[in-house]
Amino acid sequence: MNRDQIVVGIGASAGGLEAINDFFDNMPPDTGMAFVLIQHLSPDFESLMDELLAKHTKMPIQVVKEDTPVRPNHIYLIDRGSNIIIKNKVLKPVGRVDRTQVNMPIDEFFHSLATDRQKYGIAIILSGTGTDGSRGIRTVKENGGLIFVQSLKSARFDGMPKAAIDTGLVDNILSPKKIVSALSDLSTRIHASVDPPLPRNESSEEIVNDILRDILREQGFNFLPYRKTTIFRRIEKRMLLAQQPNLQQYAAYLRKNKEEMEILAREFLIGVTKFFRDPEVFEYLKEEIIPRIFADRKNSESVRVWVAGCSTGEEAYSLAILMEDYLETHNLRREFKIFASDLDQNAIRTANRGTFPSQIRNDVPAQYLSRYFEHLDNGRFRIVKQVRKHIVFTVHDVLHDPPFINMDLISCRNLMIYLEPPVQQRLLQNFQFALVFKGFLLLGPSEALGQISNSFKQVQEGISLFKNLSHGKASSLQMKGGLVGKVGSPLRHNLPQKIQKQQPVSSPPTNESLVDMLLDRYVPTSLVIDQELNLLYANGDFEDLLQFPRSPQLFNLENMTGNEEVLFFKNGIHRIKDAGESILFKDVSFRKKDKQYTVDLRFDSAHDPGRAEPVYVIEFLRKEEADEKTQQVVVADKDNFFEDQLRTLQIELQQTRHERNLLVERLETTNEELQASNEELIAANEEMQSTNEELQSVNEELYTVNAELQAKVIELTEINNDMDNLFRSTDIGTIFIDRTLRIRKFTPAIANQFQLQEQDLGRPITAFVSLLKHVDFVEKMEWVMRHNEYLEEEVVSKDDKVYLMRLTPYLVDGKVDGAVATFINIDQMKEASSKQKTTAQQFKAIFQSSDSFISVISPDGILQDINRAPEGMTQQKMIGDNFFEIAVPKAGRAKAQSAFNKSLETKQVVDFDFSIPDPTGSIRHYTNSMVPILEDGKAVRILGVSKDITQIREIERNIRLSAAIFSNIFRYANEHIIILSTEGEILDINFTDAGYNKSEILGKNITEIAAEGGKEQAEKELRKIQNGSNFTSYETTFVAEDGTRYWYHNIMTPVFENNRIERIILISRDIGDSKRLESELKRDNLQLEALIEENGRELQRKNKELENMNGFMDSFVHGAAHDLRSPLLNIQGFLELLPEVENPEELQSIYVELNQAASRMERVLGGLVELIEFLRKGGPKPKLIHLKKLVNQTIADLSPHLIKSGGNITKQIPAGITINYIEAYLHSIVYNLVHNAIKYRSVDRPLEIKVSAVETDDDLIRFTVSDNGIGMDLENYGHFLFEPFRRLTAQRQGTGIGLSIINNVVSKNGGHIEVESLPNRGSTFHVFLKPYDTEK
Amino acid sequence: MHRIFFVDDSSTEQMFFKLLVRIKKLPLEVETFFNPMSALEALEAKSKEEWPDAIISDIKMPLMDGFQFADAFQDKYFSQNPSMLFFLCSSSIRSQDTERADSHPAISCYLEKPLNEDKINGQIISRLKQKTF
Repeated sequence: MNRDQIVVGIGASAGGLEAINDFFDNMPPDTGMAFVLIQHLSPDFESLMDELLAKHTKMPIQVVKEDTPVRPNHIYLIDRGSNIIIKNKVLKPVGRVDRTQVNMPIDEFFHSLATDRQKYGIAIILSGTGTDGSRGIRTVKENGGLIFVQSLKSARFDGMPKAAIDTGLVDNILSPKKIVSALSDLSTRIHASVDPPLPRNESSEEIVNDILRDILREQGFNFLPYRKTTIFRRIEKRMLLAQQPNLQQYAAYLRKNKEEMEILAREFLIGVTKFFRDPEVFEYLKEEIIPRIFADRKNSESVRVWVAGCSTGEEAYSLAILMEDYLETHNLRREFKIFASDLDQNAIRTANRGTFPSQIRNDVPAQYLSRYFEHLDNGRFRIVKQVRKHIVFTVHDVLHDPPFINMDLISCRNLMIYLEPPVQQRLLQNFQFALVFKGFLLLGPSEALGQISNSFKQVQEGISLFKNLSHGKASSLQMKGGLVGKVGSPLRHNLPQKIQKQQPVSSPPTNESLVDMLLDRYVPTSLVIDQELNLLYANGDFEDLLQFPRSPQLFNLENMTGNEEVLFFKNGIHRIKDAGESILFKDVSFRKKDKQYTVDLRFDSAHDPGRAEPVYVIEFLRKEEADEKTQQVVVADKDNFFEDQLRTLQIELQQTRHERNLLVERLETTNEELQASNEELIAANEEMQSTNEELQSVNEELYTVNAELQAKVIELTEINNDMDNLFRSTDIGTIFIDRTLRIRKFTPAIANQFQLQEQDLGRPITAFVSLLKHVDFVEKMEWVMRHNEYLEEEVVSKDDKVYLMRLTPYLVDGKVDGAVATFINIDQMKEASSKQKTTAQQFKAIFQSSDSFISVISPDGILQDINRAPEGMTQQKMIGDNFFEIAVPKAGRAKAQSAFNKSLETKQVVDFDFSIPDPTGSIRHYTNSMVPILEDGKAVRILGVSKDITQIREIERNIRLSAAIFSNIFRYANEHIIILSTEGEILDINFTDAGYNKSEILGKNITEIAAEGGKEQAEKELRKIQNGSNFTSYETTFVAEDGTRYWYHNIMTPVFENNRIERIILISRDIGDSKRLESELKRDNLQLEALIEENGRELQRKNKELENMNGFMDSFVHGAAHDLRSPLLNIQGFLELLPEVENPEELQSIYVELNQAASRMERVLGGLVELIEFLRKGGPKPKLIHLKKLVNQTIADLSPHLIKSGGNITKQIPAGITINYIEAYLHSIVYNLVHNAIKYRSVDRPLEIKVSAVETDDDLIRFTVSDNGIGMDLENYGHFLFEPFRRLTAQRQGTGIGLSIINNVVSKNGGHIEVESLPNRGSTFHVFLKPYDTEK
Repeated sequence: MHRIFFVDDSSTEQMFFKLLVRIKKLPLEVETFFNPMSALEALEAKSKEEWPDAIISDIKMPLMDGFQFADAFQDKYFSQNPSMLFFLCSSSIRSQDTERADSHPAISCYLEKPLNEDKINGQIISRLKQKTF
């Protein structure tokens, strides 16, 4: 089950607020369920439920005012004045019934919830009075939904919960908090309920049977005969709800919990029924069966119908309606009686009431609804008395209680499906017994007859309607252990229950027939009767003596014999009562079917332990059977006896008849009166009930409103507290006055105006003198109240503080009901305002005295103010006109306008210039600014500032000219000119020679660049100038970046501005040539030092080399050890295993491996020897080697390998190349490289090797060997290319020593190796050989 | 049965290891590789369920040695499945190799060749069993 499908309907009314809060306080906001809260809300009162509830849940809350699709984790509330239904998962507000009728919103919603959401609809009923909801849950139940009800103890008002519980449909009764946990538990478990059904095995059946026995004992209901599948299913459902994990625990839980047992029993009883269920069946009954059963009965007899298992009576009523309708339409005056029985007392009680919810509209055809139902005010329907009177509802167990008999029609639909097959058979036999010959039996559509089908015939294909074709009043089949003889069985039924139970149920049938036989043979034909002539027991054949009535109730001798014969019996009993002894009547004649029999009758009295009265045994003796022992014999002289008797009786009879007639008349009158008053009473009762419903509903609404009001009161109290606190803390003096000028309320701060105490509340304000100067407070207050206007003025208190007094009318619903006065201290405000005034004045002074034109312009370009007018204008004339037209000369307008716009837009100052000719013809220049004035981030005004800068421009021009002159002198002067700041910082120089970089020197102090010795002098000269000297001259020297030393003769002179030194000018002349020799000497010194340093570095390099050698030796030793050890270990390992190897092939392969390991070791040793040889040769002296010759020789050594590989080698070595090198090394280099090229050739192509050599620019010799072999992945593995015992490929056998040697040898002498290689393309090795020094 | 990847560039070593397992009836199911790259490729191709319980690798191999293999293994697989064990073995024990192996998070143990029944039981199988329980 998807949790998001679940919609929970919650019905709550009076006292419900508490329960709802409790419920949602505990409900997590993410259960996936949607909640619809239905309350009784007054249509005239604004509900605050959403606000109130929001404090108790995080789920969104929505009042349903329009069609609203249900979403998970939402709460929906009913809107006042409407009800809610749900359809296709959409909540729809619907109009409620008008005020004169009772509104049942909870019922209405539950009906729609169940119909729409089926088993996903959950109904919860919380506190409330009345009965709303108790009808809706029936629909919920029928559609498989769950029903929770607040426990009576936890509910503030238990009316609604109680009404719901009384229906017997409720699944769980819990406190709101527990409902929440049951719900969330349920929603997580609910899908689990379908997967493991209860196991059906012996042990579980045993447990279930125990449970059923418990129910039988405790509740009196016997469900043992019920079908186990049904029982199991119902138990599963209860287990889920009771949260019991397995059957054993549930059984234990049941024993402890009476309530649960009741619920379970009711669960088994639940019968869902409705009006005219299976309409085609009822159609057939109406058309065919009902006419027939009326026809079959005599007119004087009433038709009898039995509805077995009638539940809440709908079916019985349906039948009654059809029959009544039949009689009415055919204008017949016939009687009929319907017995409707059920095991469940609650159901019968409901059926008895005869009122049904409005939904039956869907089931009952309209013509019947209008004719046989009354529409009640609350929307329900009540069956009319005319129909109701035909039905008798009774609690009755079809399985154990004796059946009703003499029935024309028995309807027992959908009961047998719950019963085990043997029980079904027994039940059917009972029905057969209860039916008259040719009576009808109506079963449910899936129910069959089984064994008894011989006695029945199906009447119509497709309808489970059967006709009883068996005459016999049954069959001994049914009554095991019953009384003997043909009439024995029906008799048994009339015996009291107690006797029946004493029958030895287990007595074997063989005994019975034996007893039958014995009775037949030895016991005379005899009857046992009681004093009222009821037949208790019979033995023998009475066929020719007595008549047998249809009903066992009628087994009375009065019905079974003729009028004459019965007198014998009455007489006999009478006498035996007097005499107390046996009496024999002789020659009594019986007449039956025109035949006459004569017998003797013997009467005996006997005692039955089961009853208080004596019983009488009458023996029917044929002549020869007469017993001589009988003491008192009366001969029945028929004639005398009869005449006597007849006369007496006739008189008696006449009297009795007369009396009876009188009595009947009186009874009828009384009965009519009673019926009339009864009807009145019923009508009154109904009215009372509906009035009560109305009252309940109104009452509930009042409770709901009250609860909401109380919550509101709490809020108001809070607001009140807030107000109090506000009053206490505010320093605004406030006083409330009522219409009669009495003080209503004031804040403590009012003490500045009035000296008031708490007890002054209610006293008139006129009694107090204010602390204000010159103010008639009372008069002003009265004015405010009279005019309903507010008044504001500044007042001064006697201690000279200024207050803003504000008097406001106090309004209630728009009418003046007093006044409020507030006093705000405005001393600070005053101060601020005076400050502002000062600022304004200052601004004005600036504005007026500025020599610039200052205009105030509005954003739309209108001139609002200007500080002075241009010539020929007045300020008054200009203000109010367009600024650009009136104040800006034509030539500048465009610029001004665009600057103005830009300033408005960017809110920044925008500067612009323009020049215009003046009347005299000379050009005047103006510089202008547009300055935005911002208020709240918007430019509200623009200040246009314009200044005449014609004169400034003139001065600027002169300065530029002077500067140009100076610049030329500066640039082209022969002397070095240095311009210094007062402090001696170099600001500019006019030369770039002498190794000076201008950018480096600028910013340095002149004393910094002066060389040693010169520094002090420069400082000294500088100080002279700073101290007022107008001229100094001196000599100086310094070293430029390239080390050249310069000598200069210098002049220093200050530049004044306003009598202050602004710059110092230094002019130098080169006088250096003669002085330079000295500095060259110094440079020689430096070179010497460098040489010494170089020596140190050489030592370090040597050291490094040794370190490298050491590292090399380390990895060499390890590599050698490893390569030597591996084959040894292989051999050792194999040898260890060898003794255990048995397979000869395996042995063979081990020998091969051993062999290979040995040869591998030899190869490694060979390489090692080679390497050691090499290291040993470390000593030989280098000599001059002819490279080409050496290469040729070496390649010749390799020719066997070369030939074997089929490769080709090309050599490009210039004949003239010679190198001073150690010959063995060189040979090894060439050998290894060429050998590698052969070794690592590709199998895909013929081997090509190229050998070449060139002399490089830096006096090295580059020797190159390249091939087209398998190549190497340098990117990944290049870094250990030259480590000893490393091989870069797994494809070839190799020792991994060669390259390591080469690298060692080459780098030892300061050369190096470069490698280019691509996998599967080939490799090229460049060996850069550095010749050994010849001197060494 | 524990599944083992045995990585060694020497066919002799591979043959020896398999022979040892068979003759001593060790509970190992051995798959052999000539170099770490092909072992890594095999891991890549297999689903997580098919991964071996342990890898035994030689140290000295061309192109990629045992330590580089352990690094690659740690990056790609050890982080995903720390219960896969990784053993290094070599015919010569160098102290710096031992230190390196001890401090490597992915390497369980460093074994000296020749491998024999005792070493495999004591160092490898006992660890695999621990892992299982």
